[in-house]
Amino acid sequence: MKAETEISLAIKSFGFQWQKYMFIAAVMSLGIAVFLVVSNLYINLTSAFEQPHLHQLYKPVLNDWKKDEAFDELDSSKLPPLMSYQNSMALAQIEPGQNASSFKTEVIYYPSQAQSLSLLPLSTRVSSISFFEIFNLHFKFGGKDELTQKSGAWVVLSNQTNERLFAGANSVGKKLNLNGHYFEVAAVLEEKTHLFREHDVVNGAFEGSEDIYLPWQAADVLNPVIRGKKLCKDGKYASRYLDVKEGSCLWVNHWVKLADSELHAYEQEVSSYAQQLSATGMLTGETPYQIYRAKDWYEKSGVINNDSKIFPLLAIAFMFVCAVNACVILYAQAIEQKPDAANWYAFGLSRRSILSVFLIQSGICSLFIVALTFVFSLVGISVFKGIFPAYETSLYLGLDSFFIMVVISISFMLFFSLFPGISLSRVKPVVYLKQGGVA
Amino acid sequence: MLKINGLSKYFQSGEVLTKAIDGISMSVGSGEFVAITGASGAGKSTLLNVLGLLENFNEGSYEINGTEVSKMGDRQKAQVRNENIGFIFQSFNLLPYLSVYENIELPLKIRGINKSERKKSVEQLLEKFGLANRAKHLPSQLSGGQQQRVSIARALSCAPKLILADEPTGNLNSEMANEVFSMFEEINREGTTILVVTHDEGLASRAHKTIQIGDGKVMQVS
Repeated sequence: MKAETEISLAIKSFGFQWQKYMFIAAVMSLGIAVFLVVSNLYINLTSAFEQPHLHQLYKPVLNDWKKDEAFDELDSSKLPPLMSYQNSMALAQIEPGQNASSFKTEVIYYPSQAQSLSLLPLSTRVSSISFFEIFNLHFKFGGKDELTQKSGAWVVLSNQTNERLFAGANSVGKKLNLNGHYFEVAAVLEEKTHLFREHDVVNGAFEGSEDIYLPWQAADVLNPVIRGKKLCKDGKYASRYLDVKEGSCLWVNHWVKLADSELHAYEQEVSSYAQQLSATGMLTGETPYQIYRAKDWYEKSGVINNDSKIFPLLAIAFMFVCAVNACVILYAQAIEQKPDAANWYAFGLSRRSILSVFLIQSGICSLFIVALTFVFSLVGISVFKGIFPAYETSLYLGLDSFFIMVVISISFMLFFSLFPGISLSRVKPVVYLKQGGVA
Repeated sequence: MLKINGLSKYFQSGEVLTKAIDGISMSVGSGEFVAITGASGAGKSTLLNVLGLLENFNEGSYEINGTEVSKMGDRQKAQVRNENIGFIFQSFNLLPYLSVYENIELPLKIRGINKSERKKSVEQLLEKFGLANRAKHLPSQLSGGQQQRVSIARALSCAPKLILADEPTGNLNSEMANEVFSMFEEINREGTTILVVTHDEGLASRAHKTIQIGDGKVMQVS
């Protein structure tokens, strides 16, 4: 028998029972869509862990931080596992040019008269030139040379800020009035596609993104309002940069990029430094220092918390439940088709051909599953982005998602069709032909 | 054409063994018109199903056109059913999603006949059975008599050597039943062998030979 006849029979039969197949497609595609959206989100979140540069990033933690002890911002006795500015700067001098300390502030942008904008508060990260290299941030316009030329008077814009202030044009060389002082744009960052921003190991993974970046020297001049953890060791609150710089607040994250061969020497330096501080009574506790790799720091900070890790498993479970339901409906469908199969058999279709016809029908159904999964995924992503705008650029259906969708849909349907199909092909024709269950 | 010897068919239900056909031996020559009669549960339909290769038998031998059926595989049986046997059922068993034309065309499609030849054959059958104006209708849009005519046309579409009809007039009134048997007579005159299972003694008498079955055995041949 020609395959053409099997296909023709499958299409005719499918067309007659399309509602049931559409129901199967809807159930199955819902499961796959949920799986795709959740797994897409999870992969985007976790992929940042696998960035190669993270394996070379280390952070020394001084003082008495206990890793199992939760940080309580309102309790001064439970301070975050960070290093003070004074400590950090001292340590930075040991390895100049290979560290990245930063913190978040806010400055006010004064628009020029030609602009229709009113005073604009900008989220600002104060950092060094090495910060961009260490955290692997790429520039869309300008770059390291421009930053070096402008010494301590540069400003780096995020892509979004550049869009907002300069309509996306190359703004390198343009001047910005920040808190009444002019700074020249030295570079514009590329748009990050990942929700998870690697450099957020500085202050926590999901804090709002920065509008601009300024050098430490600029912070001395602007004395901006600080963001983030403001509680100092003595129980006072620091509200501006100079309060922190000159006080005893613990807040600065100090990341160092080291090759494996450099790690041991660095550890010895930090140890020596910690002992000096301990001798002066600045450090307490049994463990005066620890050195963490960035990846471990993500884990300990709970960037991807346990609840988030459960979601992909729940999505897989949901997809499995949908698949089981689809399989049951498919089996019921096969039972309903037995009178047809008996008739096909009587007029010369072999059992193998009956199985083929059923598998072709399932194949057609899987194409509808692909289409519906695509629609459901797009709707799901849109809804999710509507509720959580932070995921705007990180959640999308790429070509790989589409490929996974096609593979899962077709393989699921063919796999789950096999048992009902074999059952159908083993139809006892005399039972159905005698009953006259067809016409 | 058909030759069976000591043919038996059992059904096992728990510990109870029921012999639907119990050692039947008979032969049907080419061009014969045979009626199989008997009471309900006598084994008439089971015999017809075994002869039509729709059901396997347990004992004995069955040759169709000189080939032993028990040695045939599923594909070979399917080919024999398609090329040599036409089925007509009491409940017509037309596929509800195919038009009259497509139902008649189905066995030809299964056989792999090309489209133009299929069209020619189907149109001839539609004309012969007065169904030309119903070609595009679905079975549900036809009367019982019309459905049975489609069913007969479908059975004849591959020009089989043998027609097996199981109570073909069971769902028809006497006028339609007579019409159907007249068609059988005409088909038989054209050389096709016909085996028909019927309760109706009057209709059975129109066959060349009547085989009466009882308790799975041949009771009388007349």
